[in-house]
Amino acid sequence: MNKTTLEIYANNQPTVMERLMQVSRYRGFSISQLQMQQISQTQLQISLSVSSVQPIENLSRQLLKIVDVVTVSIVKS
Amino acid sequence: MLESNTVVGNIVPETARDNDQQRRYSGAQIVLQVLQRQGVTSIFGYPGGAIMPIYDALYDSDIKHYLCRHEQGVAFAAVGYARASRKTGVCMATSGPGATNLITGLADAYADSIPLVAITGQVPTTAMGTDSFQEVDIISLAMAATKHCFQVTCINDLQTVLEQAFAIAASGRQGPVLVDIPKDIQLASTQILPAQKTQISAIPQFSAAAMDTANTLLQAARKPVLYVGGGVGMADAVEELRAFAKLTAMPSVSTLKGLGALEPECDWFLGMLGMHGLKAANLAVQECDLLLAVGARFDDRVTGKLAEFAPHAKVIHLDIDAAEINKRRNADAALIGDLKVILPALMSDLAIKSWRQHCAAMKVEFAFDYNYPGEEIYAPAILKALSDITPKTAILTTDVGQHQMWAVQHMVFSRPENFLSSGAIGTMGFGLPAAIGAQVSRPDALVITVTGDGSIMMNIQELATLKRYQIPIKIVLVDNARLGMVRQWQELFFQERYSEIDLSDNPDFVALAAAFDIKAQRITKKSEVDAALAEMMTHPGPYLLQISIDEYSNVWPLVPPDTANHKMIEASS
Repeated sequence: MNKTTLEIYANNQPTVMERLMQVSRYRGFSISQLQMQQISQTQLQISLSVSSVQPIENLSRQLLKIVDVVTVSIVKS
Repeated sequence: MLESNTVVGNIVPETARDNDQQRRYSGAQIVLQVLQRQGVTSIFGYPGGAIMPIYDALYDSDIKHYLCRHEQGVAFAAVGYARASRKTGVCMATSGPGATNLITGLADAYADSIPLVAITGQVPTTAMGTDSFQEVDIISLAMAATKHCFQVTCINDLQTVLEQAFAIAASGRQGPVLVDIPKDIQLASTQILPAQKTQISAIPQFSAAAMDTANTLLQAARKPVLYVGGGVGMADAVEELRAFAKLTAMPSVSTLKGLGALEPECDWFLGMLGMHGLKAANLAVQECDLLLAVGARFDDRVTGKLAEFAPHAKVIHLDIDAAEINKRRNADAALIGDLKVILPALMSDLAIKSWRQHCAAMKVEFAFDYNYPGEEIYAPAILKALSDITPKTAILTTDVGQHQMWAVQHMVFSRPENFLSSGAIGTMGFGLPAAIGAQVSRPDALVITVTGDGSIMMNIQELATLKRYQIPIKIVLVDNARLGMVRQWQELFFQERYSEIDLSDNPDFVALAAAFDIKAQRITKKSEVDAALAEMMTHPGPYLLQISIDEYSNVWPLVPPDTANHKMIEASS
């Protein structure tokens, strides 16, 4: 199992956190830590630590497709 | 860092500014105004309590609304409309069960990348979150079945949200978007603004280095195969693909959703690959040294046992969705972007004459045999006969099951928008409502749906929609009085323990059609086929042709689950 942390910037929209969780679960990644902070009126900064047997790019690319996700960075692996 | 690169895209055509911008419109009127500005002329829906203001506004609208008889039929009709017209389909339903009934259609559209905008009514904002009558959290339920969901909680957001919904549905890898509108927002009023420019994600651009790698791989290949998926049709890149295929003269195969992208008459187009793929197609892929995947995603029904799929091949993967790269099969070169741009840039002459001849010879050697003893109707032969008399401009839809596989094996398709089938999630009940939507979008086209006796019962209520609008669809019902594909698997893989597949107590389909004023006949013998097909094709209105076949008919070839594609079963043991 590979553990990785993703740093995500997202638009502050009601559905974005739920979608992050849903996509992570569906794509086979379990979440070990999650931190979210509203950094402006319109933006969220999210730190998401996940583990899976799959390459992290399989998740980061899927998360980037979420309409309200702006950037996804792999910060620790 | 991965970045969702945004640009200002002029998605919404600039329309004439409203003369009376000071006039206030209800939310319901704004919905219809935005639809008109988006060029929507036909929508599919079913009214109910929480969407009544929109239906009231519809009463005065020029938009043509088609009332289906179940919200699942509504969603599939919008899918059929979108696929046959290459436009965004629009469907509407009320809150609660109306909205939940859309979800199978949304999931189907999401998996097959079909642009839809689904508008649902919701209980008033003051009642939301209180478990009020017909309240369902549709945002949460639809999240896994849509590209994006919006819930509008302020009237001033409504126009922008709807414009964004259309932009998102049609951009990049297309898909369905749901907009949930509470009843009080539909009743509130505001001004309409000029159409806004909508921000969408930029189409990714492939790198020059990746193109160099791809070209090198292509030139080095001695046994390349072109593996075509549904992305070609979605990208409107059929002409570019055909030009590429003509110049390179690569042997080619197709997924179910890619059928129609390549010209079927070509000697080295080997047909569909995969679980029920053609033998020549599967053998060529297993033997190839380069697989050029174009808008395809290495689906499990295509690859069979993934570790043994195309075992000698390098892979070049072309797709607009970066998340498809290395998802199932690692690519030696990945070109992410618009196929209309990538394919011309990749074009080159290839020295593969002997490989091409080998593949063309396999196509001839392993061609289907339509000689079938006895008087019974042989499903592959009747579908081949149907294909032979069907004009190239016709639209064919299917349901899901044995008839679907026989259709893709034995019929030819001239364009992707002329062949509509539920590919990725295999939804029984798709065929009839999708055919309705297709006929609405292209009223002059001949529309045929090939269905089974299990599938048609899943949305049989849509016969009432045929009757109401006199939609002249031809329904070819391949009837084995069984859930045939499940029965086949029980025969092959579950020791003939036939569990819950007997449909021999189905209704009399001819009488059922008659109850909806639809002309119908049932045939049981080979000798009746030609006359029955001719009668169906020349009948001016809707028609149902019930074809009774042997309940033990199987689809061959078949690659058993978790097996390499060259180890196909070709006949019953």
